[in-house]
Amino acid sequence: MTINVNIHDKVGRIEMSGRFDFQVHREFKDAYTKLTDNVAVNEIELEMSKVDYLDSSALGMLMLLNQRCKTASKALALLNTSAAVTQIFEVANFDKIFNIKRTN
Amino acid sequence: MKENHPVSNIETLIPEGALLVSKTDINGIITYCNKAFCEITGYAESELVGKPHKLVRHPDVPAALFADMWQQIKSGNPWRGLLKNRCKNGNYYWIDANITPLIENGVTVGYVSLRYMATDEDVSATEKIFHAARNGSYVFGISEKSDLHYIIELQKRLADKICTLEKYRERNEEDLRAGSEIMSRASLEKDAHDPAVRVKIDSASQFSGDIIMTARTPSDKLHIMLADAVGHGLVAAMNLLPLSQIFYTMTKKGITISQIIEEINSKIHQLMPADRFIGAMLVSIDFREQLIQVWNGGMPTPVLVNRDGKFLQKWKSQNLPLGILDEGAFSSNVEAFHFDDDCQLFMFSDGLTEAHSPDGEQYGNERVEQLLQSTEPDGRFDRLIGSLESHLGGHHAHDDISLAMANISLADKVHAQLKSQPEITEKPDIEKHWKIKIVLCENELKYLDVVSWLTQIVSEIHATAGHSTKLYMILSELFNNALDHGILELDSSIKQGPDGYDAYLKLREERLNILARGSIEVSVEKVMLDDLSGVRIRVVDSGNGFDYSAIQSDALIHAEQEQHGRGIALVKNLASKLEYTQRGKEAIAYYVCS
Repeated sequence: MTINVNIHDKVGRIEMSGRFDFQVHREFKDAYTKLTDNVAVNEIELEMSKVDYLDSSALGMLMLLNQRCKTASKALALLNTSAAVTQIFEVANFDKIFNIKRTN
Repeated sequence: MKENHPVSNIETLIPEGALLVSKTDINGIITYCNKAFCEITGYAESELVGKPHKLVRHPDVPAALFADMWQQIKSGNPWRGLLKNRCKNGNYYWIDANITPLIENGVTVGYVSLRYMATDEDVSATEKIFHAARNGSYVFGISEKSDLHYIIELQKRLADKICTLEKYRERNEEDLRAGSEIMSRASLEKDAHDPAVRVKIDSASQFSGDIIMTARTPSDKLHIMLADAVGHGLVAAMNLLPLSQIFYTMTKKGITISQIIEEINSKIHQLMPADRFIGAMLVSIDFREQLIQVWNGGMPTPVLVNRDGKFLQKWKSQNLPLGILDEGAFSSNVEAFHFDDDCQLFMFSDGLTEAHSPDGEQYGNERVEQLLQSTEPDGRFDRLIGSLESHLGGHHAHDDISLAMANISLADKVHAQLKSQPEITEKPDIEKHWKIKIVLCENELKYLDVVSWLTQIVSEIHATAGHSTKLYMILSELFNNALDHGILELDSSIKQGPDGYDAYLKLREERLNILARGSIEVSVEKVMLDDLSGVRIRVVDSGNGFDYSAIQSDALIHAEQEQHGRGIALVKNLASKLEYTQRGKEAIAYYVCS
């Protein structure tokens, strides 16, 4: 799983590709901490079009990120989830608590 | 040769006993590095793996040293020396490095480097060498051959490392043993499941993050719960402890699955951090009323299949997994289905649908459904297990797999009806006893709002604090039944149809107005129910009795709830026990206040 972080105009974007599972725990945390701790960032976006799979630990990591964003008063959006990931979100009903957007 | 810049003059000290490990391929591209390596250099693993090892080279180190090093290791010899390396932020660190070629079948396939803290003397000596090399007065490669003293030193360090590793391993095994004992004492793994349910769990490791529980309520309803905690292993299994305690305790008390799931969600939400939630489904099967109720939050869709392989009902996950929402946002609504014939309910975790074949293909929902449709009822469970096993191709699944099948047969209805409610032993508590009893005849029955009056009195009593709404509901239903059906002899079937309820109310008013004789006695008193504090509500009417079983159907809850269905079903849900005697003239409900 590769993770790229960039900041543009107060929006922090995390681009992920590959398999989002418990092995990327530390990397994911390092990536989002850069943004949640950054006062210049108001919004955080997760670009997920290249994430082909996620497991329950990944859902857990997203929950933690959600919590961090709330505490830091930063908006969080998940972008362009693939069909497989969207289905997982639907079963867990995560679409009810996360802001999921399509930009492509 | 390109040098790595910029450099600062700040040193990063290597902690004593720290070991930096890295592996490269034959071209010096990093294939592995350990945590210490990342921490000291300040690079993330993803910034190192796949990059040339020389990215940690410091410009102060003469190029000739590296040339000599490569020559040695390429010819199959180990190399040892002190190095000054560069961190990501330009700081430097000194390291006592040892690089060895990895040889398989006589061919070098890569290199491994073990790096330790360097002593001050070694660092000073090496700095002098570097200085001399830059002046041209020192040539690398002449003096360093196999140094027996060094080899002994190296072996000693490796032996120390191995001892430490062994100690960690023993401690870990001891922790697992203790954890295992705690889990089994908490009865997390019950060996015997309900005879109506077949169960199979395959855990990915020693502890399962999946659990299946079955239990019967006092009125013989079957409760089944499947839960899947995030991840697997001991930490996941631990999350299931509070959940299982609540399930078993509340089922034994006859509490509905809506209330149980609400209680579990609150507990998990309170106890667990944000990333630890639990996908779950909770099922209630009432053989007497032929009703299946399901709550599904985050689990794959359970399916109900009849004898011919037709799908009668599916329950898609409509809710978030347990522990995410607080009480205000949580929904405990269940979806119900009334069955008319023998059928089987299949429930499973995502470990089953996501089980991979060796080529990475998931087992999938479609395959499950196809198999169920095309197999006769007796063979479905075993065939599914067998199909799953061959799909895995002998490999162990990476996630816990759980499967449960409930055999639902109409024959069980007779059995459930015969089984009487278990005894709730009433103990007279003469010292702390209180009792309220009122008897009303036809005159007072016409105008007194008995029930609210009575509940208000009861709610003032400390023991019943917090229960007034429920006690009100029980009193209200029993009293109204006594009046409407016992005394006024109204038929609840009048309530059916669009204007039914209006017609019913009109008739009720007429009959009440002309009521010549009739009396109702209501009493509420404190009792002890199996060591728990509770109340006993008794309503007796002077009528000829009525068919209380006609109002007993729970299935009517899911018909028009506002109209005629509520009745007795509601009382049965709220009270711990409900008894009718004297052909319906006397109703006694027990309610636990603890």
